[in-house]
Amino acid sequence: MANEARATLRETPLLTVIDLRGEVTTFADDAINSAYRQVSERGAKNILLNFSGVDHLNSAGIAIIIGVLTETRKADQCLLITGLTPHYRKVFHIMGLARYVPIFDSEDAARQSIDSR
Amino acid sequence: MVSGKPTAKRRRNRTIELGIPSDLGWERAAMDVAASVARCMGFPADRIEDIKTAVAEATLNAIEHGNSLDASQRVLIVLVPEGEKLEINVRDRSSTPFPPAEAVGAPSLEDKLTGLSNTRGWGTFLIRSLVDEVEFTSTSEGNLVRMVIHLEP
Repeated sequence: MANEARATLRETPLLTVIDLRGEVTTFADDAINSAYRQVSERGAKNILLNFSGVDHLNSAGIAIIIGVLTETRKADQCLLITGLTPHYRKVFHIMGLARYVPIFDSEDAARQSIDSR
Repeated sequence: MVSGKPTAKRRRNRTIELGIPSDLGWERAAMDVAASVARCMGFPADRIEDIKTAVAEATLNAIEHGNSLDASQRVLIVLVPEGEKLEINVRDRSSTPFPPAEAVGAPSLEDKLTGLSNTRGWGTFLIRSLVDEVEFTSTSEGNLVRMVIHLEP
């Protein structure tokens, strides 16, 4: 029944992008954490989670993202987010996540923020 | 003057009920039905998104915690469109009552990020944040989350 979560990796200048698709719920745990482990093993420092292909996100899915954020903080990596709908952007603000992970309107805007450091 | 009986009957006539098995994923069905009803009532798109998330989280809690993922136990979702408001009730068969309201504070993201608490546990907080009224009631027959969303905030 569920539209299974998929996470695919993409190397771009300055950013390693994890493109998320489908439903980010408890079932997305393996897909997201496996993608995160792969980019970490490649030595990625700036990781962009792209939610533009996500059609459903719930609190269990956001908990997985909090887990990834925890790991990036330990590993001195920078996690960035793009592709959230206005509603999920509001949810991230309500939860306080926006204070810990920058949320951008586009991949280009995320890249510019890295480039301008 | 409108007596109590016809009002109750009218309320029943307008009620939409959905029973789902306690399997993860079925909360999407509750969410989709709630969105359809809200759309018919004329809720704006951003409030429909709030309703979808609140219903999905209440139903997810009922499936996971209330009915302990026992697919033979059903979660009942009852929607009551009433004039300028939509009431949504989510009922499970839990024998464990909700914790008292004073025992449930807002989750600390800092605690979760530092490993002091589980990364989950956001559902109730999100429901409280996204609807206009919410009540958590425990009875001998199970737990009930009653949510109300007004057309005009």
